[in-house]
Amino acid sequence: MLRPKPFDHKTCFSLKEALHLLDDSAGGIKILAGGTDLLPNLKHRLYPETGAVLSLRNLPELRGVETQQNELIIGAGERLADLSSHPALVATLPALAATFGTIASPQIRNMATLGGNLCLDTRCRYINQTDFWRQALGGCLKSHGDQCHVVPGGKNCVAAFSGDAAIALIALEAEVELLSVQGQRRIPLVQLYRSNGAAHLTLHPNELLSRIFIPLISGRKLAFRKWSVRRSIDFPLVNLAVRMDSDAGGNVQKLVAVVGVLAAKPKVFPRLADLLESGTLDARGIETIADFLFRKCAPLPNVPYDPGYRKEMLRVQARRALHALLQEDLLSVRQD
Amino acid sequence: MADAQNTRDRHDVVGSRHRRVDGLARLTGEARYTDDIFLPRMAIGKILRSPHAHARIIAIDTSAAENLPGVFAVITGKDMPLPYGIIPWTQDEHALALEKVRYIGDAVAAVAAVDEDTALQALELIEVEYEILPAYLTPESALATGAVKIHEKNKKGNISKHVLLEFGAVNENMRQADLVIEGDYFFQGTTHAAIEPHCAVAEFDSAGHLTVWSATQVPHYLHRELARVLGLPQENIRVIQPNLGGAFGGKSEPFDLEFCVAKLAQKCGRPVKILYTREEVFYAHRGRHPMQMHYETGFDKNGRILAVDTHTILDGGAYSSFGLVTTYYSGQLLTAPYAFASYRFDSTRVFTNKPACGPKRGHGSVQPRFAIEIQLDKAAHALGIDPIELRRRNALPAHTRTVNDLHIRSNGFLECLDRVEQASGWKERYGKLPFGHGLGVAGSTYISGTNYPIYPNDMPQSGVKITIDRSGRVTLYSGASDIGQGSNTMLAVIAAQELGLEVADITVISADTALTPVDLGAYSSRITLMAGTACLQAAKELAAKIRSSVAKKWGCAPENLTLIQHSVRALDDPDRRMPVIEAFALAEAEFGTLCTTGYFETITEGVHGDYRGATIGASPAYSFTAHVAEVRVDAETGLVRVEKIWAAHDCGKALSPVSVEGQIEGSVYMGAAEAVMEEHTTMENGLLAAPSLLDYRIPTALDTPEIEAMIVQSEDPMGPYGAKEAGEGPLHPAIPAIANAIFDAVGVRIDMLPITPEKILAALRVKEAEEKSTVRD
Ligand SMILES: Cc1cc2nc3c(=O)[nH]c(=O)nc-3n(C[C@H](O)[C@H](O)[C@H](O)COP(=O)(O)OP(=O)(O)OC[C@H]3O[C@@H](n4cnc5c(N)ncnc54)[C@H](O)[C@@H]3O)c2cc1C
Ligand code: SF4
Repeated sequence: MLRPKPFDHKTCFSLKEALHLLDDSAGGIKILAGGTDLLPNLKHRLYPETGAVLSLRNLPELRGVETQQNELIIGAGERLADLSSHPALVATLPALAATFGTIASPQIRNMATLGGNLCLDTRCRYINQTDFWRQALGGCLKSHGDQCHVVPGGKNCVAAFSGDAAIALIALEAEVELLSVQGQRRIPLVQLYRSNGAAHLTLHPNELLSRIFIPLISGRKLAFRKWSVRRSIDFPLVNLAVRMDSDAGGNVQKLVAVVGVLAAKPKVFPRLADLLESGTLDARGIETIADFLFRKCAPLPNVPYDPGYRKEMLRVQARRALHALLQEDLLSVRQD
Repeated sequence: MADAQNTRDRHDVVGSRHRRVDGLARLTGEARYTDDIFLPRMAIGKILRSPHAHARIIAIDTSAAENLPGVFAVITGKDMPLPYGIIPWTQDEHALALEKVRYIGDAVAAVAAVDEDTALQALELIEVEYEILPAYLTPESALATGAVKIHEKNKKGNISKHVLLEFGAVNENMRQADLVIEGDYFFQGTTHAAIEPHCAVAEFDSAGHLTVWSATQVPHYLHRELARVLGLPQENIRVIQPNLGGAFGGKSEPFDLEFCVAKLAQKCGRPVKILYTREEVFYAHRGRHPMQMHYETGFDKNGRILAVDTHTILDGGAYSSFGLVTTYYSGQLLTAPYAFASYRFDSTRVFTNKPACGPKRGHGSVQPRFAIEIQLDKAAHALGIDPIELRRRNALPAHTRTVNDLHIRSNGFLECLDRVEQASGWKERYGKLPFGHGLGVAGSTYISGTNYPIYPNDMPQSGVKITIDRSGRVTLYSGASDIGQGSNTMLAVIAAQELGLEVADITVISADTALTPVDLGAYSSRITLMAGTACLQAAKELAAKIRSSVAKKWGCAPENLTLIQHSVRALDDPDRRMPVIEAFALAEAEFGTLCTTGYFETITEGVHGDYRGATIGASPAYSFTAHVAEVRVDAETGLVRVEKIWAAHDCGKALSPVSVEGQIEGSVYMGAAEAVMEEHTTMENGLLAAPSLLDYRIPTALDTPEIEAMIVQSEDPMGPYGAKEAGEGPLHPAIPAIANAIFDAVGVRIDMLPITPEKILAALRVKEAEEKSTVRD
């Protein structure tokens, strides 16, 4: 088994205490939720400056799912397994619940939290490796090195954002609440991310993600698709979500796509409705949009698998997601 | 008499569906594996590995590591300068590199410390100065003129082994053939991915005797190599193989950690344990050789095989390992189940700066099987003959000799073909399914044990000792390694059958060089035939003693008695019976302490021809298999879903049908994985692309096809009760059957493994373009 560098494990029993601990530690502490991303990364020694972890286990403030004034609010500490079958979610946002159910594997979903999934570190085949392996490679921008192996000569890390939940949630215009001892701020989820794979979150080191807000809008539909080699466990190699808002007459008001696993930041296409000549989503419109996304997205050799094939897959999955929007019964599906 | 015989059949242990001897212990977590061993004062060892694919070691400074508090010992190559290697003629490995490192991950130094963290810290303090040499990551680059020799002492550049053998008039037959199919195939390297990583523990006692516990499938060979490399008398070494969590060929030779724990233990005067990380398991490798195969096959118009001519390059990695044998196997094992009128193979194994390749389930013959079975499929299409029919026409009979003079006795291949043909609905469905949905067939053969020991000697290859104590419990001692395949259960089944007991009445003590008679190990699917024969002999002798004592008492002929259901019974009088425990007591009173031995001796008569190389590939008996695979291909994404595989396997006689079915299922799983998923590859600089079970993808339950395992029993005269192997053969046809089914589904051939969706998409595009251009013409 791989061993992480020894670290301290801190627990606290109130949110306030947690925020103070975060504030005091000046970045040397990492938040530990389910640990399914943090612990492998610590074992790979990706965070040499981390001397301690702060467990969120005992913070009831981070749990709960509730509906308030056309908004669904989810605590960041909720586990993906619970969310994927949560009655409130299944009733109001079935495609979102199903999206949660496609993440990783049943065992991992039993541990993994939604907050952790949104804060998941970026991934790259040159970084998610042991310390020995990375040293043999000579390091890279994201770990004691000054080069990028994905974009030779590049000065910006383009490690891939590989979370599934965020893709669907951004499409739904979700917002997140960030807390620190200084107070609280609420930002659109999409603004949590920036395009630097070595530091892809706009979250401050003393901040904690506490809640997720999802607007509930009638006439809104979501479809999520992902492709990974295996039907369980694997991180997505292609993922995307499409959302459509239609009026009572069936005219498309808004069509949005969000694409993940490209670089450090999910890519948002907010005005796809403009591409629909007929104003409705028909077969021709679906092809146009799928082609458009195909042209606008360039998967990189940052995660395993041939980028050219991933690009092809993106078109197919976009087509299939858009077709799913035409169906009444919305469920997000994995691959074929 | 007939009645008694019927009772006998109904209560046969052989062939019954029973539990494994270790089933519950493994299920409940009670079974102890090597890493479960914790000895008082035990130190933890760690190995420093090379970050360079090819380099000369200029200097190693271990002083800082030695001075770190908590470090007990540090060793380097100089501590164990003798080379070792599983094949006596190609010993080119050192426990720790002496002068050179030959792949990323090659062992350079080792430490023992109070705990793992300290050991890891000590590794960081070891300074190694390297002179970097050019790294050769492909056979082509290693063979290029001017390439540095990876092994200086090797005679022919970077050629590890070359074999050229010819049987019959290949050129002439090829000229006369009505159809010649020519194809280039590539089999990507794959690894075993056993769930238990390699682990070893060593301890010296006060008399200087060494005990090594190791997750190995070859305790006997390890015993010999430890003695040689450490310079200790063999009688002062004991090797114990605890429960094993899978091996598949990945633990069938000595590894660096086994020598390192022993040397470190000697140096620091404490027991030492080393457990590989998953990454180290990938470096240790010994998995399937990548093979480039150029095949030419000539057929007459009826589909009979006139000539087979093959050229194969094996990418061997950094060391010889079993490579000499693999090179022979890549050709020698191709000559059944089909009759070749003439045959030539030309195989070359090349050293490269990558983890060494070796034996993986179906050693050396899974790759050529992939090529030939696709060749046959191509011929069937070209000739308009059903692919199963084409195979039938070429099938060898029982009791025959192959073109390369292997002696085949029992042969259930035709029945295997019949079974999969029927079960899959082949006749109604093949060639008639809609686009995207297809069936494919393939056949194969495999050895039930390599005929000769790895080091030449005239002693038995396997010994078994059986004792009975006064409680009636039977204890069976065998050197054979149960690696999860169930060999301990197999031995218990045979003893129980002969002694009228149940499997649960037998205690099996195995793979402990101090307690058990020698068995050469779990490789080449040899144990059921060889250890099983030894066991049957010992059990029969014991049963004879018991029958004779009871016969004496009853005043009847011993032949008239049978041992069954915990009793001795008279065959002609079912009511006449004696509890077996009384019978044991009678026999002990007459013969003294009850203990018999049995052994399996090398069969030297009539097994093979007498040309150079004839012995490699020869076996006392051969198993046969046929598969039909059903696939669905999504032409838009190129994704293949292997829906179902029907696998019929001729294992001679299923001593434990549940175990045989398990072996068939496990083999099919592994083959299907190699067909569409697995690849053990390196990046440009020689680093492994996927040294973890996240990136090296083995199928999850959701990715696994439905498997229907069917047992065919041809009863071979050489095997115990007619039994042959079941552990490796059933893997072979899965891969070509899937490839052939993909062709049936979408009309494209993918001859390069693994069959990934992008290869299918690319092939479909080419096909589409071709069809368009023919329409235009
Ligand atoms: C084998 C494997 C396969 C996977 N496959 C997928 C997949 O298919 N799709 C997918 O989306 N993900 C996948 N994952 C990732 C997994 O879903 C995430 O690791 C998980 O959701 C993270 O949640 P966690 O609670 O375990 O987070 P942790 O590991 O505890 O934390 C993850 C990161 O988020 C930070 N963090 C956690 N909670 C908070 C918070 N409240 N506020 C601020 N920062 C926080 C942590 O400091 C850490 O940096 C996979 C992971 C593994 C190991
Ligand atoms: S994208 Fe470049 S810099 Fe970032 S992790 Fe990968 S190799 Fe390193």
